[in-house]
Amino acid sequence: MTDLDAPLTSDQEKLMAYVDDEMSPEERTEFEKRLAAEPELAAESAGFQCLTDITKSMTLAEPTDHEMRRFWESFYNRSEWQIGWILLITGVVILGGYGVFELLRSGQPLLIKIAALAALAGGGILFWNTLRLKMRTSRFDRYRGVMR
Amino acid sequence: MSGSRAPLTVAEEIRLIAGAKHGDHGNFETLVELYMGRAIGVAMGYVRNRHDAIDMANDAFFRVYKHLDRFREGERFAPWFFRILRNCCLNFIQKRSRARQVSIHPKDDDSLGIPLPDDALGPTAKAEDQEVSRELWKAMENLSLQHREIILLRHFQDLDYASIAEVLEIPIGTVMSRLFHARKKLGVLMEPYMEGQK
Repeated sequence: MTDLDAPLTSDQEKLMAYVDDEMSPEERTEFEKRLAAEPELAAESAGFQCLTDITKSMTLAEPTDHEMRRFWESFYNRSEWQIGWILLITGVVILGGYGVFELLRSGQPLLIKIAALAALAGGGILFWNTLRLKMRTSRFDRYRGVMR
Repeated sequence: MSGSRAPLTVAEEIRLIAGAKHGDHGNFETLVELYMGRAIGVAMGYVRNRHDAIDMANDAFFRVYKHLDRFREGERFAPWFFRILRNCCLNFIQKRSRARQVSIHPKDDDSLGIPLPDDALGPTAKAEDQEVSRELWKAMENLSLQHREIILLRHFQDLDYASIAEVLEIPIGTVMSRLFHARKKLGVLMEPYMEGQK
């Protein structure tokens, strides 16, 4: 537990439950009697109530039509993007595995086999590196929505 | 299509989620419209700019869509959804702080996310409230993340203690104490404006 969550006194707990309407009607009546008799407690309750009233009079800005369009475009793009990547990676892994298997059992000279495997591994590493960098930074690119 | 819609009853919401779970995409879209504004509001408290907040809402809805089968029918949707949204935001903040250790950009612009005064108020009251609203948002900015999130969930999303406990994964007693201390701090920051309201 941190200072942020420092425990409350019984009165403070009751005050919170009162302000947030988390009391039974009987408890409420009982607490209201105390509020009438204890000005300090009443002042604290009024402060919280005032904050609640201020926030209640505010409404968060609803998304505009443009924002909703952007949302749905991005939503569907993502679904298609994900399916596309899954299919592509599955295909590459199967074909690559098969290619390596065929290369190893072929009668090609050892040097050609090593060169082919090195080219494949290098291509894979560069592809993964570019993809990882893109994934890490693209979300924070402020200009990603700008047509260049 | 904007995100504002009349709130549903619990029974209507359960029916809507059940439909979405069984593949009715229209039901899912309605669910998004219902929660989009609220999601942006909560996400703003974490990521502090509207553009990223919409991305966070997108992340959360995408996860909801993928894992809707894990949602137990009859359970309340809001705490489940806001817990997912919170995790998305915290992941994002962590990654962003790593990606932007040195930033050449000024502080993000939060102006678009300022809560708007209630539509029922007249034009003069609205202008005054706009100022209070701005001050409230500024005061919120000065709270710690833990205090800001609990204020957003209680005051702007109207979640009860049990739901907040579910979202933040803390006991109800901790919800009460954290909310108490958050209100105290916010009260001090908002003192000049509260005097006028009393």
